[in-house]
Amino acid sequence: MKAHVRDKLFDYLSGEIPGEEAGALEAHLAHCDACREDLRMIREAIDILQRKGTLPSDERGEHFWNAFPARVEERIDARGKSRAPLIAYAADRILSAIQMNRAHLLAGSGALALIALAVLLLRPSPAKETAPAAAETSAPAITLEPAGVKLHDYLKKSRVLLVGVTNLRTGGDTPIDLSIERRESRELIHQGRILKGEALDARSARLVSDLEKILIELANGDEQHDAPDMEIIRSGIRDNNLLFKVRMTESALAAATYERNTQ
Amino acid sequence: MPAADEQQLISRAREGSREAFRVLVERHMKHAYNVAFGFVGNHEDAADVAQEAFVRAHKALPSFREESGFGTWIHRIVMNLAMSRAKRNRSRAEREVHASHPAAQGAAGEPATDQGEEVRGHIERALHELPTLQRAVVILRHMDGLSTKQVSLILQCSEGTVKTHLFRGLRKMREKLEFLQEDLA
Repeated sequence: MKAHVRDKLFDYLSGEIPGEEAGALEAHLAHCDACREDLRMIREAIDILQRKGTLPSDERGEHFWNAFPARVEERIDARGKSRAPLIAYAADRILSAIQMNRAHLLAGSGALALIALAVLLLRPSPAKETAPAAAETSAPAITLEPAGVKLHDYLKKSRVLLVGVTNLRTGGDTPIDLSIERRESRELIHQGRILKGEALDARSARLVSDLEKILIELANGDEQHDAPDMEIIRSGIRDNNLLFKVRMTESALAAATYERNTQ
Repeated sequence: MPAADEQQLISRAREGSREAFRVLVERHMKHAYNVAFGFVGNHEDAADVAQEAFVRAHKALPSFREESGFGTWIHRIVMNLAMSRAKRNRSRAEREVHASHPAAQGAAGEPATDQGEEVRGHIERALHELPTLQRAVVILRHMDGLSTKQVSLILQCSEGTVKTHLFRGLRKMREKLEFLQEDLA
């Protein structure tokens, strides 16, 4: 059977071909066993699929769908995307242009000044990237306990590092320079091991262990990573919901300390 | 081209309106979920993929050229993410499919609670045995109810290519599920 005839069978079944063309197709079907068999097969397969019944979305309750948009927003926030998308896009474009032209910049006589600018722009400012919402900044000051201070500091630094890694642009052919991230990862691994030696609650200890795996990956990698390497690291961050867990633990830590302070 | 109402929502979301983006999410979340489920085959991954798709869409909104509708665009993002997830899960999924093949089901499988659930299980397994593109067109065309033209826009290929994959996919589905035909009649 010719492909163009076969293609028409789909349109024929969904009533999407004009009457004249449908008549010609029916005339062809009357004497072509192969096409009739194909038409029967397609019809039966569609019939089976349509009898599948409920859609997967119908199996989730109202609560799931009510909470769905909020979960998306939580994820956006967790990745430090509180900036307006337009600003984020402009920043991405600038970073991309700088990355693509990095080789030329290095070769140029005025390279040093431009590299300094590139370094500034390539590493999204942790303070800006993860700036807390206005409501958070206006909250009363919270005094953490010494153990909590260490954990809070560790989590904050880890979050800044992971947000930076997640947001690094990897579209170009130029390998990504991760020397700064490697150094930071080593320090955080060391800090995490000290924390694990102290009396951490089970959830925080698990989180520190999960973070350690990613930090080791970053610390042990080559200074020049390529896009696939980065994607493995990012999928580790994403799949374990690490940024979300870090933020939740930070919030829980702050809330617990606040409660103690106000008692 | 997106509808005027949707264009306004996209513009506002680009300017940072969370409310506008939320409306877009609410409007397309179930379609996104169903497409994701078609590929990954379980609710946990489908929820994760669908949510992640909207996060990616939010990030990429400024680069969305509006040559197609937001729905087509989000479908494409969901498909790409879901295919990657399905690929990663493939070895595990293959083992599960093998263990729950109709021939093995009677011996070792959990008894289905009702006939409808059993039929759906067979269909889902047959879908997951299809090659990726065939699975994609079958899901989008016959489960999500999109037109051939819409599927071609999502997959960025010709309608003829969509129909070729559709034909092959449906033929395989039909062969795998032939044993159901009498039950369903």
